[in-house]
Amino acid sequence: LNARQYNDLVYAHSDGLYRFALRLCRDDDQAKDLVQISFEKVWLKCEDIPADKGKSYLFRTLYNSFVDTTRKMKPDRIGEHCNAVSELVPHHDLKEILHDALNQLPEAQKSAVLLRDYEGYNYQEIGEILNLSESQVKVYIFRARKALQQIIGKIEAVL
Amino acid sequence: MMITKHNFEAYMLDWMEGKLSDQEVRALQLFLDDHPDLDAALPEEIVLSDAAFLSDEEKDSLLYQNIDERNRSYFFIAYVEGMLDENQMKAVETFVARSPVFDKEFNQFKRTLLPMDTTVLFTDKHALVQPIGGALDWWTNATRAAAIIVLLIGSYWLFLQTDDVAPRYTQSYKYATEYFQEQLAIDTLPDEQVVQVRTIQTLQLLVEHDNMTTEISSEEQRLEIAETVDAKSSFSIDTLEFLSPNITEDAIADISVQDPIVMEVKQHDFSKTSAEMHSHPAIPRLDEWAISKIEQRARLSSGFPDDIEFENSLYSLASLGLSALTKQQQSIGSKQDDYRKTRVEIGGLKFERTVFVGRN
Repeated sequence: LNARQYNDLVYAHSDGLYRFALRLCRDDDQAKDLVQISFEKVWLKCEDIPADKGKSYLFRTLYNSFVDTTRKMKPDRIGEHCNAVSELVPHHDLKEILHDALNQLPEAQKSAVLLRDYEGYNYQEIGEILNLSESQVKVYIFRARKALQQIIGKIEAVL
Repeated sequence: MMITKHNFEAYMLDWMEGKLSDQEVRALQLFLDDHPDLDAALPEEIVLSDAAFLSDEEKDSLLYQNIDERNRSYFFIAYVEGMLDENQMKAVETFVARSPVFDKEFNQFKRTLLPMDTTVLFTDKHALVQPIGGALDWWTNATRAAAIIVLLIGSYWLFLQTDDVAPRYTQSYKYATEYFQEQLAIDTLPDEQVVQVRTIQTLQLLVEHDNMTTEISSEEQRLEIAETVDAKSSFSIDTLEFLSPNITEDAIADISVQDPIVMEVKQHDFSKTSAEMHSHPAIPRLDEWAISKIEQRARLSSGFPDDIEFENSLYSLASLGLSALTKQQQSIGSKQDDYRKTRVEIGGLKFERTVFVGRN
């Protein structure tokens, strides 16, 4: 990657990366920090990154940073965070229901679905980003869709 | 790879995509038979999928007639994931159309696709952007410039080998004058900088060749080349300006009110032949004037001039005096002498220029 290609990455993918981060951590400041950190890391290693791998490298860096950060957080803090978001998001429409349901999925399933639906990555690319085999990605996406369908079904039954 | 409770869904999806061998299909069938708690099953007929007498179409038909309660969710998810072909999708649609319950469930699966919220934007992009022109960029541009030089030298060599095929030129004298003007501006720079911009001179020479015109003649490409030079030189802005035709026109406009000799030359129609051009009575006087100015500039300035406006006028004048630097001219072009290489030293500055003299 040269500087021009790096800047192209910023303009083309910072929004998508931010959306991914925001859905992962559900905190605006932390999401922005993750985006910032990811781009910094990519810039520092840009000489070693092929131009066509820039985007997946960004997402992988962000995901790894998120996992590292989450591991360092105290469990009670994470719990606080989830509750706060659940209270803030009223179930007005399907989009909100879905995103709330998404937060109930295990981290890897959630990330796989986000990368699939938001960024259109194939299973192999998702595997590269999340450090999973293609087979594992398929399993996670299958289970995530099934879980989301069941949540949607339950909510529809209540409504 | 062993089929386990942790990965059997992937095998199910692979089976739907037709990625499993018959041996793997049998293994999957056995695994599902051993684990009725997983609530998944392959249709009975799939075990027979290796029957050589069945066509692919027949296998598809057989397969999707057997979508049932225990495997439907795999089909629904494969549908949502875009794994199924057109026939397979129709089979799923036919299946759900038979049952309102399954139809509702199928629609719920469709809704699991997350809609991207495009209103969520990262607003601090400017803080992430890096300045262009770092060491890495310099190296990239330098590599690109080297590749262009090699390409052009090769092309020019080929051009010299084809004397029997006369190149077709469409440029007028005006065009040649503009190039001359730019080249003069470049040539009067200090030696180390001249080395850097010589690629452009070579390029300009070859731009005139019919075969190359379509590839390198656009303004966009000229600026790209200028950017390449930009990465290697400290006087880049000025160089870019001289590569711009607008500057050329402005400069000519300036000099028209400064010197009667120029006025006289400018009134001449330059879109004529080479012989007519050189026979104009004003040319020798203009040459003399231009050379004296260049010498003066060489004495006064060791670097790029501060007074750009003055220099623009000077270069324009010298460029109008097309014969100014023809004293040591040598032909390097085709039989028509359309390309002329000139070597001369004025005021300690070395000039080496290739001038195109066009024909109508």
